[in-house]
Amino acid sequence: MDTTYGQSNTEQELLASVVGGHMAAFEELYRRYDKRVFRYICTFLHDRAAAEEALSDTMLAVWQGAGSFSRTSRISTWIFGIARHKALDAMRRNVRRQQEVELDTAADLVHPGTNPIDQIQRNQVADLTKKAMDRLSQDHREILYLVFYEELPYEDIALLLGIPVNTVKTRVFYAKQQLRQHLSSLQSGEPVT
Amino acid sequence: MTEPNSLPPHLHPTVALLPWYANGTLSEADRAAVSTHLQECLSCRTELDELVGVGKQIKQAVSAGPMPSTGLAQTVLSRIRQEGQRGQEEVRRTSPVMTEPSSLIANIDRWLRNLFVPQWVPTLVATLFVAQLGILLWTLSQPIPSVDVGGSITSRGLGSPTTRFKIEFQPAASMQQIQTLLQDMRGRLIDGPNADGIYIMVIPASDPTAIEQRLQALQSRHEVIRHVEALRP
Repeated sequence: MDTTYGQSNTEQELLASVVGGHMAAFEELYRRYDKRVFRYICTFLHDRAAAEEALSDTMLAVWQGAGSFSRTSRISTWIFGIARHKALDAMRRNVRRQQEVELDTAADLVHPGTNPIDQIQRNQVADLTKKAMDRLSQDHREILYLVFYEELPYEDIALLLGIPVNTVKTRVFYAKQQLRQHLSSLQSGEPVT
Repeated sequence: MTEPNSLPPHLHPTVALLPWYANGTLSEADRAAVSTHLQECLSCRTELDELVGVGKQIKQAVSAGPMPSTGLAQTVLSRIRQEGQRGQEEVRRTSPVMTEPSSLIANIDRWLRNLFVPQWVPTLVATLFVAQLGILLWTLSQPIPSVDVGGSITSRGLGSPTTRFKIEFQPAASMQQIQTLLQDMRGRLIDGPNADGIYIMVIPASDPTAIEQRLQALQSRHEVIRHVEALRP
Protein backbone atom coordinates (compact mmCIF):
# COMPACT_ATOMS: atom_id res chain seq x y z
CA MET A 1 0.00 0.00 0.00
CA ASP A 2 1.25 3.44 -0.87
CA THR A 3 1.46 5.43 2.34
CA THR A 4 2.85 8.65 0.91
CA TYR A 5 0.43 11.43 0.22
CA GLY A 6 1.43 14.52 -1.69
CA GLN A 7 -0.01 17.41 -3.61
CA SER A 8 -1.20 15.06 -6.35
CA ASN A 9 -3.84 13.57 -4.09
CA THR A 10 -7.19 15.31 -4.15
CA GLU A 11 -8.71 16.28 -0.86
CA GLN A 12 -11.45 13.70 -1.38
CA GLU A 13 -8.79 10.99 -1.72
CA LEU A 14 -6.99 12.26 1.33
CA LEU A 15 -10.12 12.29 3.43
CA ALA A 16 -11.05 8.78 2.28
CA SER A 17 -7.61 7.61 3.44
CA VAL A 18 -8.03 9.45 6.74
CA VAL A 19 -11.30 7.58 7.24
CA GLY A 20 -9.28 4.40 6.71
CA GLY A 21 -6.96 5.47 9.54
CA HIS A 22 -3.93 6.42 7.44
CA MET A 23 -1.83 8.87 9.40
CA ALA A 24 0.25 9.92 6.40
CA ALA A 25 -2.91 11.12 4.67
CA PHE A 26 -3.93 13.03 7.74
CA GLU A 27 -0.50 14.63 8.01
CA GLU A 28 -0.84 15.89 4.44
CA LEU A 29 -4.32 17.21 5.16
CA TYR A 30 -2.97 18.85 8.31
CA ARG A 31 -0.17 20.53 6.34
CA ARG A 32 -2.65 21.86 3.80
CA TYR A 33 -4.95 23.37 6.39
CA ASP A 34 -3.17 24.25 9.62
CA LYS A 35 -2.09 27.77 8.65
CA ARG A 36 -5.36 28.60 6.93
CA VAL A 37 -7.41 27.35 9.84
CA PHE A 38 -5.17 29.13 12.33
CA ARG A 39 -5.56 32.45 10.51
CA TYR A 40 -9.31 31.97 10.32
CA ILE A 41 -9.42 31.24 14.04
CA CYS A 42 -7.40 34.40 14.61
CA THR A 43 -10.27 36.44 13.20
CA PHE A 44 -12.11 35.35 16.36
CA LEU A 45 -9.36 35.05 18.96
CA HIS A 46 -6.59 37.46 19.87
CA ASP A 47 -4.84 35.09 22.23
CA ARG A 48 -2.22 32.86 20.63
CA ALA A 49 -2.54 30.04 23.15
CA ALA A 50 -6.32 29.99 22.76
CA ALA A 51 -6.02 30.08 18.96
CA GLU A 52 -3.55 27.19 18.96
CA GLU A 53 -5.76 25.21 21.29
CA ALA A 54 -8.73 25.80 18.97
CA LEU A 55 -6.61 24.72 15.98
CA SER A 56 -5.55 21.58 17.82
CA ASP A 57 -9.16 20.79 18.76
CA THR A 58 -10.26 21.40 15.18
CA MET A 59 -7.71 19.03 13.67
CA LEU A 60 -8.51 16.35 16.24
CA ALA A 61 -12.18 16.72 15.38
CA VAL A 62 -11.32 16.37 11.68
CA TRP A 63 -9.44 13.13 12.41
CA GLN A 64 -12.20 11.74 14.58
CA GLY A 65 -15.08 12.92 12.40
CA ALA A 66 -13.70 12.23 8.93
CA GLY A 67 -16.07 9.29 8.58
CA SER A 68 -19.08 11.49 9.24
CA PHE A 69 -18.28 14.03 6.52
CA SER A 70 -21.53 14.21 4.55
CA ARG A 71 -20.11 15.35 1.19
CA THR A 72 -22.87 17.93 0.89
CA SER A 73 -20.24 20.66 1.07
CA ARG A 74 -16.58 21.10 0.17
CA ILE A 75 -14.07 19.61 2.56
CA SER A 76 -12.68 23.09 3.20
CA THR A 77 -16.12 24.38 4.19
CA TRP A 78 -16.53 21.42 6.52
CA ILE A 79 -13.16 22.01 8.18
CA PHE A 80 -13.74 25.75 8.51
CA GLY A 81 -17.14 24.98 10.01
CA ILE A 82 -15.48 22.87 12.70
CA ALA A 83 -12.89 25.59 13.29
CA ARG A 84 -15.63 28.19 13.62
CA HIS A 85 -17.37 26.19 16.34
CA LYS A 86 -14.12 25.65 18.21
CA ALA A 87 -13.23 29.33 17.95
CA LEU A 88 -16.66 30.45 19.13
CA ASP A 89 -16.40 28.04 22.08
CA ALA A 90 -13.00 29.49 22.93
CA MET A 91 -14.37 33.02 22.61
CA ARG A 92 -17.09 32.26 25.11
CA ARG A 93 -14.48 30.88 27.51
CA ASN A 94 -12.22 33.88 26.94
CA VAL A 95 -15.02 36.32 27.63
CA ARG A 96 -15.17 34.89 31.12
CA ARG A 97 -11.42 35.18 31.58
CA GLN A 98 -11.30 38.63 30.01
CA GLN A 99 -7.88 37.94 28.69
CA GLU A 100 -6.83 39.79 25.63
CA VAL A 101 -3.29 39.02 24.69
CA GLU A 102 -2.10 40.56 21.47
CA LEU A 103 -0.97 38.06 18.91
CA ASP A 104 2.59 38.19 17.76
CA THR A 105 2.83 39.83 14.43
CA ALA A 106 5.31 39.32 11.71
CA ALA A 107 4.41 42.61 10.09
CA ASP A 108 7.61 44.27 11.25
CA LEU A 109 9.85 41.66 9.72
CA VAL A 110 11.65 42.54 6.54
CA HIS A 111 11.63 39.60 4.19
CA PRO A 112 14.97 38.90 2.52
CA GLY A 113 15.23 39.28 -1.25
CA THR A 114 12.84 42.21 -1.58
CA ASN A 115 13.34 45.94 -1.92
CA PRO A 116 13.52 47.18 1.70
CA ILE A 117 11.52 50.34 0.95
CA ASP A 118 8.77 48.39 -0.79
CA GLN A 119 8.81 45.90 2.02
CA ILE A 120 8.52 48.59 4.70
CA GLN A 121 5.70 50.24 2.77
CA ARG A 122 3.94 46.89 2.42
CA ASN A 123 4.40 46.19 6.09
CA GLN A 124 2.95 49.59 6.98
CA VAL A 125 -0.11 48.97 4.82
CA ALA A 126 -0.53 45.50 6.26
CA ASP A 127 -0.19 46.82 9.78
CA LEU A 128 -2.72 49.57 9.13
CA THR A 129 -5.17 47.12 7.56
CA LYS A 130 -4.75 44.72 10.46
CA LYS A 131 -5.51 47.49 12.92
CA ALA A 132 -8.55 48.51 10.89
CA MET A 133 -9.75 44.91 10.75
CA ASP A 134 -9.27 44.54 14.48
CA ARG A 135 -11.69 47.42 14.93
CA LEU A 136 -14.37 45.71 12.89
CA SER A 137 -17.11 43.65 14.47
CA GLN A 138 -16.45 39.93 14.59
CA ASP A 139 -19.01 39.27 11.83
CA HIS A 140 -17.47 41.85 9.50
CA ARG A 141 -13.90 40.71 10.13
CA GLU A 142 -14.85 37.09 9.51
CA ILE A 143 -16.73 37.68 6.28
CA LEU A 144 -13.98 39.85 4.79
CA TYR A 145 -11.47 37.12 5.64
CA LEU A 146 -13.61 34.45 3.98
CA VAL A 147 -14.17 36.48 0.80
CA PHE A 148 -10.77 38.06 0.27
CA TYR A 149 -8.31 35.69 1.94
CA GLU A 150 -10.00 32.30 1.60
CA GLU A 151 -11.72 33.40 -1.63
CA LEU A 152 -14.78 31.29 -0.92
CA PRO A 153 -17.89 31.46 -3.13
CA TYR A 154 -20.87 33.17 -1.50
CA GLU A 155 -22.82 29.88 -1.41
CA ASP A 156 -20.08 28.27 0.71
CA ILE A 157 -19.96 31.25 3.04
CA ALA A 158 -23.73 31.11 3.50
CA LEU A 159 -23.43 27.41 4.32
CA LEU A 160 -20.53 27.96 6.71
CA LEU A 161 -22.16 30.83 8.59
CA GLY A 162 -25.67 29.43 8.39
CA ILE A 163 -27.15 32.62 6.95
CA PRO A 164 -29.01 33.40 3.69
CA VAL A 165 -27.00 34.18 0.57
CA ASN A 166 -28.52 37.65 0.40
CA THR A 167 -27.30 38.40 3.93
CA VAL A 168 -23.81 37.29 2.89
CA LYS A 169 -23.83 39.75 0.00
CA THR A 170 -25.06 42.72 2.00
CA ARG A 171 -22.79 41.92 4.95
CA VAL A 172 -19.72 42.04 2.72
CA PHE A 173 -20.79 45.38 1.34
CA TYR A 174 -21.23 46.96 4.78
CA ALA A 175 -18.10 45.26 6.17
CA LYS A 176 -16.02 46.78 3.39
CA GLN A 177 -17.63 50.15 4.04
CA GLN A 178 -16.72 49.91 7.74
CA LEU A 179 -13.17 48.87 6.91
CA ARG A 180 -12.76 51.86 4.61
CA GLN A 181 -13.91 54.21 7.35
CA HIS A 182 -11.51 52.68 9.89
CA LEU A 183 -8.63 52.90 7.43
CA SER A 184 -9.38 56.57 6.76
CA SER A 185 -9.55 57.30 10.47
CA LEU A 186 -6.28 55.50 11.15
CA GLN A 187 -4.52 57.27 8.28
CA SER A 188 -5.68 60.66 9.48
CA GLY A 189 -4.84 59.82 13.09
CA GLU A 190 -8.40 60.30 14.25
CA PRO A 191 -9.63 58.30 17.20
CA VAL A 192 -12.05 55.64 16.09
CA THR A 193 -15.27 55.19 17.93
CA MET B 1 -25.62 43.89 14.18
CA THR B 2 -27.86 46.74 13.10
CA GLU B 3 -26.93 47.00 9.42
CA PRO B 4 -29.77 46.76 6.88
CA ASN B 5 -30.36 43.51 5.06
CA SER B 6 -30.27 45.16 1.66
CA LEU B 7 -27.94 47.38 -0.30
CA PRO B 8 -28.52 51.15 -0.47
CA PRO B 9 -31.18 51.81 -3.09
CA HIS B 10 -29.01 54.09 -5.22
CA LEU B 11 -26.58 51.21 -5.97
CA HIS B 12 -26.93 48.89 -8.90
CA PRO B 13 -27.79 45.30 -7.77
CA THR B 14 -24.68 44.04 -9.56
CA VAL B 15 -22.60 45.57 -6.76
CA ALA B 16 -23.67 42.68 -4.55
CA LEU B 17 -21.78 40.25 -6.80
CA LEU B 18 -18.59 42.27 -7.21
CA PRO B 19 -16.67 40.74 -4.27
CA TRP B 20 -17.01 37.32 -5.89
CA TYR B 21 -16.26 38.71 -9.32
CA ALA B 22 -13.05 39.96 -7.71
CA ASN B 23 -12.20 36.65 -6.02
CA GLY B 24 -13.04 34.67 -9.16
CA THR B 25 -15.67 32.32 -7.76
CA LEU B 26 -18.76 33.45 -9.69
CA SER B 27 -20.50 31.03 -12.02
CA GLU B 28 -19.87 31.50 -15.71
CA ALA B 29 -23.31 33.00 -16.28
CA ASP B 30 -23.00 35.48 -13.40
CA ARG B 31 -19.46 36.37 -14.44
CA ALA B 32 -20.55 37.10 -18.00
CA ALA B 33 -23.48 39.24 -16.81
CA VAL B 34 -21.26 41.25 -14.44
CA SER B 35 -18.62 41.74 -17.15
CA THR B 36 -21.23 43.11 -19.53
CA HIS B 37 -22.56 45.45 -16.89
CA LEU B 38 -19.09 46.70 -15.93
CA GLN B 39 -18.44 47.85 -19.48
CA GLU B 40 -21.20 50.39 -19.19
CA CYS B 41 -21.25 51.28 -15.46
CA LEU B 42 -18.54 53.57 -14.13
CA SER B 43 -19.65 53.44 -10.48
CA CYS B 44 -19.51 49.63 -10.47
CA ARG B 45 -16.04 49.72 -12.05
CA THR B 46 -14.94 52.12 -9.31
CA GLU B 47 -16.45 49.85 -6.65
CA LEU B 48 -14.66 46.85 -8.18
CA ASP B 49 -11.32 48.68 -8.18
CA GLU B 50 -11.82 49.49 -4.54
CA LEU B 51 -12.72 45.89 -3.73
CA VAL B 52 -9.63 44.58 -5.49
CA GLY B 53 -7.48 47.01 -3.50
CA VAL B 54 -9.13 46.08 -0.22
CA GLY B 55 -8.72 42.40 -1.06
CA LYS B 56 -4.98 42.84 -1.61
CA GLN B 57 -4.62 44.74 1.65
CA ILE B 58 -6.52 42.08 3.58
CA LYS B 59 -4.38 39.32 2.04
CA GLN B 60 -1.22 41.18 3.02
CA ALA B 61 -2.48 41.86 6.52
CA VAL B 62 -3.54 38.26 7.12
CA SER B 63 -0.38 36.82 5.54
CA ALA B 64 1.75 39.03 7.78
CA GLY B 65 -0.15 37.77 10.78
CA PRO B 66 0.85 35.05 13.19
CA MET B 67 1.46 31.42 12.33
CA PRO B 68 0.93 28.43 14.56
CA SER B 69 3.96 27.41 16.61
CA THR B 70 6.30 24.99 14.89
CA GLY B 71 5.93 22.43 17.66
CA LEU B 72 2.14 22.44 17.55
CA ALA B 73 1.87 20.21 14.49
CA GLN B 74 4.09 17.60 16.13
CA THR B 75 2.07 17.70 19.34
CA VAL B 76 -1.25 17.30 17.56
CA LEU B 77 0.02 14.59 15.22
CA SER B 78 1.57 12.64 18.09
CA ARG B 79 -1.68 12.79 19.97
CA ILE B 80 -3.59 11.59 16.92
CA ARG B 81 -0.99 8.90 16.18
CA GLN B 82 -1.56 7.50 19.66
CA GLU B 83 -5.30 7.55 19.07
CA GLY B 84 -4.76 5.93 15.68
CA GLN B 85 -2.81 3.07 17.23
CA ARG B 86 -5.50 2.55 19.80
CA GLY B 87 -8.10 2.54 17.03
CA GLN B 88 -6.17 0.02 14.94
CA GLU B 89 -5.73 -2.27 17.93
CA GLU B 90 -9.44 -2.06 18.49
CA VAL B 91 -10.08 -3.04 14.87
CA ARG B 92 -7.66 -5.99 15.13
CA ARG B 93 -9.31 -7.10 18.35
CA THR B 94 -12.84 -7.01 17.04
CA SER B 95 -12.11 -8.53 13.64
CA PRO B 96 -11.68 -12.31 13.52
CA VAL B 97 -10.68 -12.11 9.88
CA MET B 98 -7.00 -12.82 9.31
CA THR B 99 -5.39 -9.91 7.55
CA GLU B 100 -2.24 -11.59 6.33
CA PRO B 101 -1.58 -15.06 4.97
CA SER B 102 0.08 -17.35 7.47
CA SER B 103 0.07 -20.94 8.57
CA LEU B 104 -3.04 -22.67 9.85
CA ILE B 105 -1.54 -23.11 13.30
CA ALA B 106 -0.65 -19.43 13.49
CA ASN B 107 -4.20 -18.52 12.52
CA ILE B 108 -5.68 -20.84 15.13
CA ASP B 109 -3.27 -19.46 17.70
CA ARG B 110 -4.30 -15.90 16.85
CA TRP B 111 -7.97 -16.82 17.02
CA LEU B 112 -7.54 -18.44 20.42
CA ARG B 113 -5.61 -15.44 21.68
CA ASN B 114 -8.48 -13.25 20.59
CA LEU B 115 -10.73 -15.21 22.94
CA PHE B 116 -8.60 -14.03 25.83
CA VAL B 117 -8.84 -10.37 24.98
CA PRO B 118 -11.81 -9.66 27.32
CA GLN B 119 -10.33 -9.13 30.77
CA TRP B 120 -12.78 -11.44 32.54
CA VAL B 121 -11.93 -14.51 30.49
CA PRO B 122 -8.88 -15.65 32.53
CA THR B 123 -10.97 -15.34 35.71
CA LEU B 124 -13.75 -17.44 34.18
CA VAL B 125 -11.29 -20.10 33.03
CA ALA B 126 -9.63 -20.26 36.45
CA THR B 127 -13.03 -20.54 38.19
CA LEU B 128 -14.14 -23.38 35.93
CA PHE B 129 -10.85 -25.19 36.49
CA VAL B 130 -11.12 -24.94 40.27
CA ALA B 131 -14.76 -26.06 40.19
CA GLN B 132 -13.92 -29.11 38.08
CA LEU B 133 -11.04 -30.01 40.39
CA GLY B 134 -13.33 -29.72 43.42
CA ILE B 135 -15.95 -32.01 41.87
CA LEU B 136 -13.26 -34.55 40.98
CA LEU B 137 -11.81 -34.58 44.51
CA TRP B 138 -15.25 -34.86 46.09
CA THR B 139 -16.14 -37.78 43.84
CA LEU B 140 -12.90 -39.59 44.71
CA SER B 141 -13.47 -39.05 48.42
CA GLN B 142 -16.89 -40.81 48.37
CA PRO B 143 -16.90 -44.50 49.59
CA ILE B 144 -17.51 -47.01 46.84
CA PRO B 145 -20.78 -48.88 47.64
CA SER B 146 -20.04 -52.52 48.44
CA VAL B 147 -21.87 -55.13 46.39
CA ASP B 148 -23.06 -58.23 48.15
CA VAL B 149 -22.35 -60.74 45.44
CA GLY B 150 -23.89 -63.49 47.46
CA GLY B 151 -27.34 -61.87 47.73
CA SER B 152 -29.88 -61.34 45.04
CA ILE B 153 -29.67 -58.12 43.12
CA THR B 154 -33.05 -56.53 42.60
CA SER B 155 -34.08 -53.57 40.58
CA ARG B 156 -34.55 -50.45 42.68
CA GLY B 157 -36.96 -48.91 40.28
CA LEU B 158 -39.76 -49.87 37.99
CA GLY B 159 -38.56 -47.65 35.22
CA SER B 160 -41.89 -45.99 34.76
CA PRO B 161 -44.28 -43.85 36.83
CA THR B 162 -46.02 -45.86 39.51
CA THR B 163 -49.00 -45.59 41.84
CA ARG B 164 -49.18 -46.90 45.36
CA PHE B 165 -52.04 -49.04 46.51
CA LYS B 166 -53.04 -49.91 50.09
CA ILE B 167 -53.87 -53.62 50.19
CA GLU B 168 -55.30 -55.93 52.78
CA PHE B 169 -54.87 -59.55 51.76
CA GLN B 170 -57.33 -62.31 52.54
CA PRO B 171 -56.25 -64.12 55.70
CA ALA B 172 -56.43 -67.36 53.77
CA ALA B 173 -54.36 -66.13 50.76
CA SER B 174 -51.25 -68.20 50.23
CA MET B 175 -47.76 -66.91 49.45
CA GLN B 176 -48.02 -68.44 45.98
CA GLN B 177 -51.24 -66.55 45.23
CA ILE B 178 -49.72 -63.28 46.37
CA GLN B 179 -46.58 -63.81 44.23
CA THR B 180 -48.77 -64.66 41.23
CA LEU B 181 -50.78 -61.48 41.83
CA LEU B 182 -47.61 -59.42 41.99
CA GLN B 183 -46.34 -60.93 38.76
CA ASP B 184 -49.67 -60.42 37.03
CA MET B 185 -49.87 -56.81 38.10
CA ARG B 186 -46.08 -56.18 37.67
CA GLY B 187 -46.25 -54.84 41.17
CA ARG B 188 -44.02 -54.86 44.18
CA LEU B 189 -44.64 -54.68 47.90
CA ILE B 190 -42.69 -51.80 49.35
CA ASP B 191 -44.03 -51.63 52.85
CA GLY B 192 -46.05 -53.60 55.38
CA PRO B 193 -47.61 -55.17 57.02
CA ASN B 194 -48.55 -52.53 59.58
CA ALA B 195 -50.42 -53.24 62.81
CA ASP B 196 -53.65 -53.64 60.84
CA GLY B 197 -52.09 -56.06 58.34
CA ILE B 198 -52.02 -53.43 55.54
CA TYR B 199 -49.37 -53.60 52.77
CA ILE B 200 -48.33 -50.92 50.35
CA MET B 201 -47.92 -52.10 46.76
CA VAL B 202 -46.63 -50.07 43.82
CA ILE B 203 -47.83 -50.78 40.30
CA PRO B 204 -46.81 -49.04 37.06
CA ALA B 205 -49.62 -46.62 36.40
CA SER B 206 -49.67 -42.87 36.23
CA ASP B 207 -52.72 -41.46 34.52
CA PRO B 208 -56.15 -41.73 36.17
CA THR B 209 -57.52 -44.20 33.62
CA ALA B 210 -54.65 -46.65 34.13
CA ILE B 211 -54.92 -46.30 37.90
CA GLU B 212 -58.64 -47.03 37.75
CA GLN B 213 -58.03 -50.09 35.55
CA ARG B 214 -55.39 -51.41 37.94
CA LEU B 215 -57.69 -50.76 40.88
CA GLN B 216 -60.53 -52.69 39.24
CA ALA B 217 -58.18 -55.54 38.35
CA LEU B 218 -57.04 -55.76 41.97
CA GLN B 219 -60.59 -55.59 43.28
CA SER B 220 -61.55 -58.49 41.02
CA ARG B 221 -59.02 -60.76 42.77
CA HIS B 222 -61.33 -61.50 45.71
CA GLU B 223 -59.62 -64.77 46.49
CA VAL B 224 -56.39 -62.90 47.33
CA ILE B 225 -57.38 -59.35 48.21
CA ARG B 226 -59.82 -58.42 50.89
CA HIS B 227 -59.63 -54.66 50.45
CA VAL B 228 -57.70 -52.35 48.16
CA GLU B 229 -57.59 -48.61 47.53
CA ALA B 230 -55.29 -46.33 45.53
CA LEU B 231 -53.21 -43.85 47.41
CA ARG B 232 -53.27 -40.46 45.83
CA PRO B 233 -49.89 -38.79 45.61
